Amino acid sequence: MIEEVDVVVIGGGATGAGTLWDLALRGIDAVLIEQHEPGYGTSGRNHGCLHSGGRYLVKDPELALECYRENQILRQVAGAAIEDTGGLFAHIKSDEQDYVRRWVDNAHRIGLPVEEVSATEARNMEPILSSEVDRVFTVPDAAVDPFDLIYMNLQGAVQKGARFMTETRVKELLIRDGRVQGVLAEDIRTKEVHEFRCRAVINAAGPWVGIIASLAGISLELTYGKGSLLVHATRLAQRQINRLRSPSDGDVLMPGKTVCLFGTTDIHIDNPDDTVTWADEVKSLIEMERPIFPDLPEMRVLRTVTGVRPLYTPGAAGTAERDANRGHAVINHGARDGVGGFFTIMGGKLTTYRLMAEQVVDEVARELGVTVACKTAETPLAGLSIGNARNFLETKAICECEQVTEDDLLTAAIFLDKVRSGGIRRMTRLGLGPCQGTLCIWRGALYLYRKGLLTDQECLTFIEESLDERWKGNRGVLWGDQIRQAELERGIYRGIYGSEGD
Amino acid sequence: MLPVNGIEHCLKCSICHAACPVARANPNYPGPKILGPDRGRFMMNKSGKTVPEVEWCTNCQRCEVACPHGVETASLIRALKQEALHEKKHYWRDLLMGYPHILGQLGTAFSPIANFMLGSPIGRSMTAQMMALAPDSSLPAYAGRSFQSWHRGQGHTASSNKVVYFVGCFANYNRPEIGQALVALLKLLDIDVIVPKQVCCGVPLLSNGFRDRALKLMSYNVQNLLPYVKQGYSIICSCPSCGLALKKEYGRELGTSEAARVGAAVYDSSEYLDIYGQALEEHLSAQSWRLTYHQPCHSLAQGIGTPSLSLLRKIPGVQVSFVDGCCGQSGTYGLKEEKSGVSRQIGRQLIEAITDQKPDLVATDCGTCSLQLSRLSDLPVEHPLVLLEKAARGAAAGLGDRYRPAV
Amino acid sequence: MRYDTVICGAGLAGITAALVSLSHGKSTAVVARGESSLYYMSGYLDLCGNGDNPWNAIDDLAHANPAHPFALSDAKEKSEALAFFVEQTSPGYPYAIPVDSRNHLVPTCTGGIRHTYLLPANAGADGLADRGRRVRAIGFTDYRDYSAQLMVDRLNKKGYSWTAAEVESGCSKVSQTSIDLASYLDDDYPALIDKLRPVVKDCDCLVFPAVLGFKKHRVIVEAIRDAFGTAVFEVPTLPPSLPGMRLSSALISRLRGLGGDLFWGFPATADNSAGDRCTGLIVDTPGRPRLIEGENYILATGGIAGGGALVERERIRERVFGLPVETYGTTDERFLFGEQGFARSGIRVDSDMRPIGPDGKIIYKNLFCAGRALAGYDPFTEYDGAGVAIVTGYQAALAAIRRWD
Ligand SMILES: Cc1cc2nc3c(=O)[nH]c(=O)nc-3n(C[C@H](O)[C@H](O)[C@H](O)COP(=O)(O)OP(=O)(O)OC[C@H]3O[C@@H](n4cnc5c(N)ncnc54)[C@H](O)[C@@H]3O)c2cc1C
Ligand SMILES: Cc1cc2nc3c(=O)[nH]c(=O)nc-3n(C[C@H](O)[C@H](O)[C@H](O)COP(=O)(O)OP(=O)(O)OC[C@H]3O[C@@H](n4cnc5c(N)ncnc54)[C@H](O)[C@@H]3O)c2cc1C
Ligand code: SF4
Ligand code: SF4
Repeated sequence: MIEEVDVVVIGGGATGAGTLWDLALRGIDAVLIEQHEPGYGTSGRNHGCLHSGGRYLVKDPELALECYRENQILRQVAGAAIEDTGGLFAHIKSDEQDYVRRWVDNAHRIGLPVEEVSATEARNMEPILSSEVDRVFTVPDAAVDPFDLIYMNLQGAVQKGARFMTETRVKELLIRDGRVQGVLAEDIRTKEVHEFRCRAVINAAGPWVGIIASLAGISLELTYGKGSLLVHATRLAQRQINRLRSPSDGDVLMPGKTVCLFGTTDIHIDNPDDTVTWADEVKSLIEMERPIFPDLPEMRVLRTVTGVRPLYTPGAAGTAERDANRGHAVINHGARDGVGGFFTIMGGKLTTYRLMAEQVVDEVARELGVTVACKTAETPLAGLSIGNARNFLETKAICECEQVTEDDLLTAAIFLDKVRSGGIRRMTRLGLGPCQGTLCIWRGALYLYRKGLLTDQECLTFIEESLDERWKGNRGVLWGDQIRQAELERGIYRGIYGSEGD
Repeated sequence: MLPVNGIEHCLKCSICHAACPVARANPNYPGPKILGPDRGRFMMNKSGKTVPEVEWCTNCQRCEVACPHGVETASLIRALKQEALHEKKHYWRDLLMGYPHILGQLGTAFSPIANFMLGSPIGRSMTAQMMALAPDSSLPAYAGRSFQSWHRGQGHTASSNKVVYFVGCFANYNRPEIGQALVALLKLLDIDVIVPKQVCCGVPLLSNGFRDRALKLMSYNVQNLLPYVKQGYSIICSCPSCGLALKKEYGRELGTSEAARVGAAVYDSSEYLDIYGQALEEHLSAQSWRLTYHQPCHSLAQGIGTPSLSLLRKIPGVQVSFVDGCCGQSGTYGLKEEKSGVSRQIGRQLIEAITDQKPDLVATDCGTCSLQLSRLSDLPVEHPLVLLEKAARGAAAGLGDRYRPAV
Repeated sequence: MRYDTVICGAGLAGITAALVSLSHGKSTAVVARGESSLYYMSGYLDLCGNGDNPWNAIDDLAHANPAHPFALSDAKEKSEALAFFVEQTSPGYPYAIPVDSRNHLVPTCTGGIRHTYLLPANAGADGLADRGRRVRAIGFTDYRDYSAQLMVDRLNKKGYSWTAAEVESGCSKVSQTSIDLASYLDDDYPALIDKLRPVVKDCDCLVFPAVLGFKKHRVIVEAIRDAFGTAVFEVPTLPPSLPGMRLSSALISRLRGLGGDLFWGFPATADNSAGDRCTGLIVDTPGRPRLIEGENYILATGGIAGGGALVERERIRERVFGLPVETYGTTDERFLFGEQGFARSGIRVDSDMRPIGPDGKIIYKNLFCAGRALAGYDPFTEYDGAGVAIVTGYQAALAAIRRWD
């Protein structure tokens, strides 16, 4: 099947989804293609801090300012995905003292509103903080739910006529006469191939941008760093808490909805698909929690999450990972490599996804001769009609831990082009709570089956895939309550399935 | 906020839900798992709303006993109740019923009037209407003389073995016979009984969400009991709810070492007598009773096993069977107009189990359980202490009187 | 009071042991932190293996793995244990030993097929043995944990020809678990029968999700049978498991009836002060700890899920006595149902069910161990959960009694 469209966006992370929304607002006909489900990549595997910029004040004041500006904009236009938690920067006695001065100076310089609170007050605000903390500042950090954010962008774009496809992988770029003519994309299950004829392709494939570029014979200077996070079962802090020191591993405790995330590590890897959390990463994260959050290591850990950062290092191979450029890059491959109509947007932050989208769409619009200016900074995105009820007493809950209702599942299933475990999970939070799907995977799959949205075989596949996906996050944290949970889960699903299985 | 009451340990297995008598009887009650650890987790991010349904929890604590993973569901629900306090529909009624010792003082002082209000058809319907009670609720009648006042008139024995008795409102104002039986039984063992100043244990307030007020009563009791505990005396409770509160809730809610110290000295009356089981046995005369013993939820929740059962089994000739379950009364819960339906529904299941055993007599340690059981069945219901004392007296009288509301 | 036997844990293993002890006239106390794995499990009591012949499966297992708990008893002892157990269930919730000593073939709620050994006696015999049987699977439109249609869809692809029908249960609970439905039916099963009338036709057997009442189960099953003249079979769903609860409550009332004492609701740790003998269990009860003393002790606290084994980051700890835990390191990275080493971890015992250390030496002379707490097996890959619990519970109690005599 061949479809015509102005622009193909590759990648359903925050950047891709934001790009689709931006294109739609400018009236450019576009389709987004995602190999798994939106949020599968780094956008679904991070802290979810809506950075105020505080973290980059000393190292990269420019990036700090960019974050701060975007932070302010997103609060206006994407409020439904954001919780104004506020943030603290907490300094521990043994960390470098002089850093505090430089940090405060730069905050004043770029106009970031920071305010010092006494350590005692801070510990009243956040009892999880260590008594070793001596200086604490508040900053306007916030929490952003990356899944809500992505699906809100997609929802907005779809309402304006854009399309998106999940579980469809771009396999080939069609290039003729030095211009991209289209893409071939394949359904990852059925292997059905879709051809899109288009005038421009935006490569927003996150850590996979290099692979997409190579489809056009282009090589990008990329290195990869993986970062792992521990997801704690309950919300142990109300605010984002950053360790006030030169950015390093294990600096941030980030509350998000019902859980909180601690991280990260930063390890060089060669392959963007390498999202396994290593056992010694978990160990070192636990040790990193101790100095600033002494009680945290004893708190239940639900799972680990590992995300991959693509680091674009043109001409600077060999720089230490964390110091590599953390800003973003917009590459017009027509100018750079002689492949017209092909653009790559990469790097950056979740916080700056909108700006990145704006910049790449500016380039594309110029090429397509579209003169409509970017409107994403002024146009509010509607919230998802999912999970907002947060009141299990009104509707029957399928997932009681995260209070995902039948209606939530139905809404997601109708919105998504394919009803698959990944999309349903990320869009609704099904199975993200403490039981990690022990009960709700079965319930959810059954509900979708009964609504005619899954066949009997698909229903079982949904369950198996969900269990295996949850297991991937659990296997690194098999101690305490979580291993009991895993045993219970094994017992229950063994009973449900029987052994002969299917 | 750090996780409390074992929220983190919950595996979402719903064992607690299966153990909850209210969840079984009331379709609108979400049950201990949802209201406890699930809701508690949402409260930690301050996005959780208060839930009016917590009202339905009887605080029987069966959920907590059943949970194999150490989640303190009932405590979590009590905390939710407190948060929802001001949404309470029957705020004043529940508050008033939280002071049984004051009602009791008035009730015993003016017992003819009080018993008219509680016992006669006209009085009952007036009271029920005024108080939003179930029209057919049978409030316990007040005794003409409280246990404490009776006990003041008794001399002390010369024994150097002494225990402190925390009487509890029911035995004090409604059924002094229970306390009198305890005194008599202890006398057989040459143990003297001291009754210090005391007020209600605070459970009625606490389980209705009035935590702050409950704390005041609790502190008062701790102050009055502590000096005796320091001298090494044990504290005996004949009411399982008082006993559980003193042992468990005092230490947790007050959070003081004094409260914990008092708690460590508390014994359920049967738990205490069971220690002297052999000595007591010698005093017990044969009876022909066919008994069914119902263990009150708050006795179960003390983790003491079933000492009343072992004591009753020591009475020669007596056949004792055991039934498991909640009676649904839960203090004043079953009296309340909006709750009495659920309360009865729960109680009926227990009554069925009891009548299956075809007893002549039911034994239970809790005053309000006995109210419910006698309201729902035609069987006489007695406190094990009273039965033991009868057996010890060799009372040929046979059965205990059926407990009746004053008419 | 000093008991002859003190048992820690009130699951299948602990209760079996207690009943053995009581039936030998020993005073017996059971200490349990809470309800057991019976609340989780299907109520299909597996003996061993997922094939027709459990006895062969046992031999294979014991042969391949001499450290397997089944290697500690012969077929005769196992049969005795099962016979004893089944007898204990008969007053409350009777189970039956298969007449041919072979496994039953039963359906699961996804339309899977499994083998199991002991089934409740009123379970309408084999669910799946006879392919020609006209079976009608009944589901409830308002029960979220079960779909009759899904089960039938799947089974029919395996050569059965079942039919499905759904009715509304009428139970309007806000959160509807198996127990909500069962309690509702306890109160109002005649209404269910009326609802079934229009949909029950042309069948010899009715299959339901396992929610047919808790207290009134027997009455409900009989009423359905009488109304329609069919067999009635229950398929387990998510916990809490009604068949497990019924079994648990039947066994516990039997235990009480025989005069056993139960201490519910609080965890125990052992008083190990006397060197090679255990002298008491210290139960963490409100107010102050409670000491429970006995002559012999049986540890039946279950495994990781049951609560007996506490997995820490660096090691696994046995919670009550601090016994050495034999650990198996490997974890299947990809699949939950792969070989998981942690599942085989547990306590190693000698032929008298007494825990031994890595050096093979007995740790406490008067301590015995049974059930999921034992090392060397994984019920979820071997299908021997209930079997091991019952057989080892029986053995441990007999060993304790032998020592006492
Ligand atoms: C551990 C960690 C923590 C972080 N924390 C924060 C934070 O707190 N705040 C913040 O602002 N930023 C944070 N970041 C950075 C932020 O997460 C990323 O910059 C951002 O999510 C990148 O989004 P993206 O859309 O560009 O890429 P991705 O989210 O990775 O999206 C790329 C998508 O492309 C898809 N794709 C790839 N190949 C193909 C193909 N062939 N066909 C179709 N689709 C394809 C992938 O499946 C994927 O969904 C963090 C990063 C890491 C690694
Ligand atoms: C989800 C699940 C499904 C299963 N399905 C099946 C099935 O379909 N068929 C089958 O044959 N088998 C099944 N099994 C396996 C089988 O149920 C168990 O192996 C068996 O019941 C274990 O019995 P147990 O008595 O050894 O331990 P448990 O049943 O786990 O009992 C342990 C007892 O010890 C108590 N306890 C724990 N720690 C302490 C402490 N410190 N102090 C005091 N008490 C304590 C607990 O509260 C509990 O009462 C299943 C198991 C699970 C978990
Ligand atoms: S509180 Fe306990 S019994 Fe209830 S669901 Fe959680 S772990 Fe299970
Ligand atoms: S305390 Fe009793 S009524 Fe309240 S939730 Fe627990 S079991 Fe139910």
